[in-house]
Amino acid sequence: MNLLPLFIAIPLGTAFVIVLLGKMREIYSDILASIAALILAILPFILILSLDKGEVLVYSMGKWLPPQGINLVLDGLSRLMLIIINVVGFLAIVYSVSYMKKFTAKSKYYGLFMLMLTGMNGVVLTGDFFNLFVFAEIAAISSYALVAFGVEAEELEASFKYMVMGSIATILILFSIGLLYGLTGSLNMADVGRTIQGNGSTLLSFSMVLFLTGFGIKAAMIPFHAWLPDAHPSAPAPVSAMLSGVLIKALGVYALMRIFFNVFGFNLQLSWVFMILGLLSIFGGGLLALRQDDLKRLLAYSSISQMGFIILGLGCGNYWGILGALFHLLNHSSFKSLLFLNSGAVEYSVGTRKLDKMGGLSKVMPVTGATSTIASLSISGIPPFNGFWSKLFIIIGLVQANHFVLAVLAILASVLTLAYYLRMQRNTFFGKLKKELEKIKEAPLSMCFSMIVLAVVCVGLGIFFYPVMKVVLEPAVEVLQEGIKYSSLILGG
Amino acid sequence: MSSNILLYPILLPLIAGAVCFLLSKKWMKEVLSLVAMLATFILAIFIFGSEELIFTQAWLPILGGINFSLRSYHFSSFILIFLALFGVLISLYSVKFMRGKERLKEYYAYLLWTIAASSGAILASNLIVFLLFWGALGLLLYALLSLGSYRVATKGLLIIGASDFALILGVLFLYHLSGTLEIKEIGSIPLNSALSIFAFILLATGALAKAGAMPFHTWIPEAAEKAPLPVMALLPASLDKLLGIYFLYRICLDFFHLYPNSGLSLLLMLVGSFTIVAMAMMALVQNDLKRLLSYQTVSQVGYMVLGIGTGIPLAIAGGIFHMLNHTIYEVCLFLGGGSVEHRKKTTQLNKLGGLARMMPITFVTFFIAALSISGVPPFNGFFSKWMIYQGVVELGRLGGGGNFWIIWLLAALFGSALTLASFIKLIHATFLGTPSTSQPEDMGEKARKLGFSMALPMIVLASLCVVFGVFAYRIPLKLFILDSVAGVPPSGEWLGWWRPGLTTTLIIIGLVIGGVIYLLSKVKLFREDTSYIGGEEASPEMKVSGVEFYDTVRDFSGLKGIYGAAQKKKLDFYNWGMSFCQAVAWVLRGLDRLVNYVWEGLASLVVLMGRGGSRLHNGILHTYLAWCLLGLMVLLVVFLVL
Repeated sequence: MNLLPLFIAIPLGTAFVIVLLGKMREIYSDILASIAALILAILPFILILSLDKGEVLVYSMGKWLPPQGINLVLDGLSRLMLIIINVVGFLAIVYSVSYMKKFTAKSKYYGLFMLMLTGMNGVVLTGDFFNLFVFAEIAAISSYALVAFGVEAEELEASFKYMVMGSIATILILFSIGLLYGLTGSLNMADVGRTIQGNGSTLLSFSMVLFLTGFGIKAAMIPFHAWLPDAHPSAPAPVSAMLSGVLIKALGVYALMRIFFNVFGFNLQLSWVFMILGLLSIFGGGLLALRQDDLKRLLAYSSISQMGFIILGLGCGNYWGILGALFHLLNHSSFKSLLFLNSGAVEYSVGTRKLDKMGGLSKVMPVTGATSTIASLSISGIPPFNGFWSKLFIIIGLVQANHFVLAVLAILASVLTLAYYLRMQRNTFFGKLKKELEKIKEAPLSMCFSMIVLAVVCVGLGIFFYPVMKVVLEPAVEVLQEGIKYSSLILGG
Repeated sequence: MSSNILLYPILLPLIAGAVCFLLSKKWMKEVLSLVAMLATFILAIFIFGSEELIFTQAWLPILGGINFSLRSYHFSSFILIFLALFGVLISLYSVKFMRGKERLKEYYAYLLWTIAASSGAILASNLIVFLLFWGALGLLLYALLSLGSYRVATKGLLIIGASDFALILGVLFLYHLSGTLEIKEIGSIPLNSALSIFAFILLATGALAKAGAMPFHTWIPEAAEKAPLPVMALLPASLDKLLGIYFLYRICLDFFHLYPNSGLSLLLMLVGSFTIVAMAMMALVQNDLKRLLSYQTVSQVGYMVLGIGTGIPLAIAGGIFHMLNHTIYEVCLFLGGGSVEHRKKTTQLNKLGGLARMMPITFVTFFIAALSISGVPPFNGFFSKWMIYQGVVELGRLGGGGNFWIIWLLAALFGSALTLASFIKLIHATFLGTPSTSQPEDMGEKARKLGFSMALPMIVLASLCVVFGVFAYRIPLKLFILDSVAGVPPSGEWLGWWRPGLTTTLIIIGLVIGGVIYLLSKVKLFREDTSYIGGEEASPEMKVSGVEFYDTVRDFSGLKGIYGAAQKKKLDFYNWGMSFCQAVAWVLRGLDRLVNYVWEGLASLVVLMGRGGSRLHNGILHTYLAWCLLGLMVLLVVFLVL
């Protein structure tokens, strides 16, 4: 049996059913959402077990073969993304069970969340430009709504900015797809890739620029990042975790990788553009994060900075660089989601996100404090946590590509990361507990559960990085390194 | 006898020391320590009584099979006996002396462990095992000295630690030269290559530092003032000498072969002679009983080093014998000093005086020991020095070394005279004369008594001084020394034939006759009166305390500068090392500051850039969209134009 359509069908179906459950007791939506998310989280692992390493699964909708029909493609890269999306999604749902109690209309929230999952799963599975656009829109529009879920002035403003910039990105992408369709007469990515081989033209370059800008906005790369520091902090914490941990990767980085490595083909010019965008993001995000006094804004800027690392690694284009980038993508989804969940727990218990109003929280919130410390150490690249290995691989990649200056800059940026996370930890969890905070209680069980699982993942990925590298990451690296052979793999011949 | 017996002198004090930490009552620790020391002593006698024993146990198989091997033979087992004997005596002495002091638990534990580690170092038959125990001794020295002062303990540890490092390096070279770690299999490596000479010097450095010869002695006088007195009696006065000189002997005669008048032999003799004279000179001007004694113990090491350094069997035997005698009288002296301290709570010479009547036992034993150390016949110190002199003269007859032997001989003789002089001062200031006015009040009647436990060790040691001197041939030489050193000619063929028995008899007869004459003629003719000082009333301020006896020595031209420098610790290698370290630290700190400024500059730059970035994020959507547009334009230029 082919499992691929389930990744889209299950969340889509759940989204509609769960909204209908809205009139009934809250617990039913909790249970339904959790079960659906759990199934989704297990499915990618079944796929890993049932498929050989490097095997590519193609599913043609309604048995219409590509390039005319619509197809879903599962290769190493999509598999990695599916794991990230669905596991983090499941943990965010579990976390939401307690966290979203203070909001009304929980079932609507779950419905939007499920739509967002649908969109992201669709984006990473589809083998077709137009569907990529459609699914990206599904995910994006549900995320606009989720950012505004609190319906306070601040959230609405953030959502509005996010929506405007997101729409511009969508327009650019749609325009670019239109151009490609005009040039090649096909929307299937493999087919387009095969057709444009070797015929460079100005229009093709123009479409590349449009894609780069459009998905650059989605991936929040400097200078296209400005929506992120507003949008991510305004969303409810589990949604922030999804946005920062998963959404920008699925909609932004994944699409960039797929289009530029597998359809257009990677070249030196792109390599430099990627690395420069990456460096800009690393330093811009890091420097700004250092100055934030709002916990979630700090995390948002840090996301920009860490995305920069991923893009920088991809820009290297060699084995270690790509491996490091993909590993960092996986790691970032674990520790950044965890950090956002931590910030949610703090907000839930303390009621504020201002760094200067907190301090010494580890004493009253031990689980949050400990997991947040683990996540901070991981993201700062302290051995033996996972972030250390991925940053190390990226630096190895840079050195192998003879970009010594960039390697040194990456190391310095890593120090910068450590600096602002130490600052964050010192101001929130360490230090002296303020008198008025002594009565604070630890977050509820379901929230603690998600945080602990993610912390275990951070440590586990750090210690068992080798098997993870072999089983999950290397097939994905292979896909990117094979580049434009993608077309022949999908279409045969 | 099973060779397992070799393990017991190590294990027994080790375990007893650990148990000390568990015992709560004071008397239990005292009894335990005493019993364990006695048992070790008896074990040592058994080991001495048996033939050569070898114990081997495979150990550390990963490191290529290093054996945990122990070996006892005549020399090592006689040293073991004396180790344990001093353990017993000092343990006994401590019962009363240390009562009421702080950290008693640690004191007894470290005492026992020191005996355990010393036994291990003496018995070890594998170089690694030896280093293990030897290193443990360094740590225990720190632990024991820290009971008095952490500063001095640190100094001691650094000096001993540095020399231990030299020793380890030496052992590595030795292994390279001989190809084995088993001490027994290392035999007479010729001293003809640079590596072997370097190895010899490194090993000798370790041994000399342990024995406390110059220039590794500087911690001893400082420790004497600060550390508990039994610790001084145990370590610098006895165990360190036994271990250091034993090991020096092994180096010079077993590992390598030191020929008379070879370069290294001259070096050792130079170190020895210089130590004798310089330290005796230093002792001369000390005004504290314990400091004076500690300089004397360093001075006496010189004789042993000189004796072994000659390479003449007779002098070597003399050096070993002197080591034995030295430990006996020096411990006796230290314990005597301890009794004075116990009673008067001070060892400042100008605050003491006239104690002979109050403390007869201490006075007599101290006096005997002082005569021994000064080399007055018929006591033991004389005999061993006599052997060394003969060895040096024989060296001169051997020829080949120029006329240097005269210098060594003169140094040894002169040192002996200086020692006597310093003890005249010491005994006068402490026991004779009139009591000082600034003397602290006596304690109550009960505390004043020496008691059995403090008196017995001193009496035993003083008797040993006499017995080892008068019956030198029959007891110590025959039992211990002559079988340990190969090639000593039979006593009849010695250059200067000395009959201690006859001499003693003559001395006694002389004394008796003198006494008879005195009693017969003058006994009724004398009267006792206060000193006559030109008709003046003798006031207490006019007392001659003896402290200033040799102060003129300080003013001799030439010596003046040296004494002044020594006073300011300018001649202390430790201080040189420390100054060097400070200079290095200063330079490093400068570098560190420099790097720090660079980083701080970087940090301010980062903050500044962050501030600029923040200003750009003004929250207005138009601005943000403008950036996007700008980015798009740049990309267009990059892809379409370039």
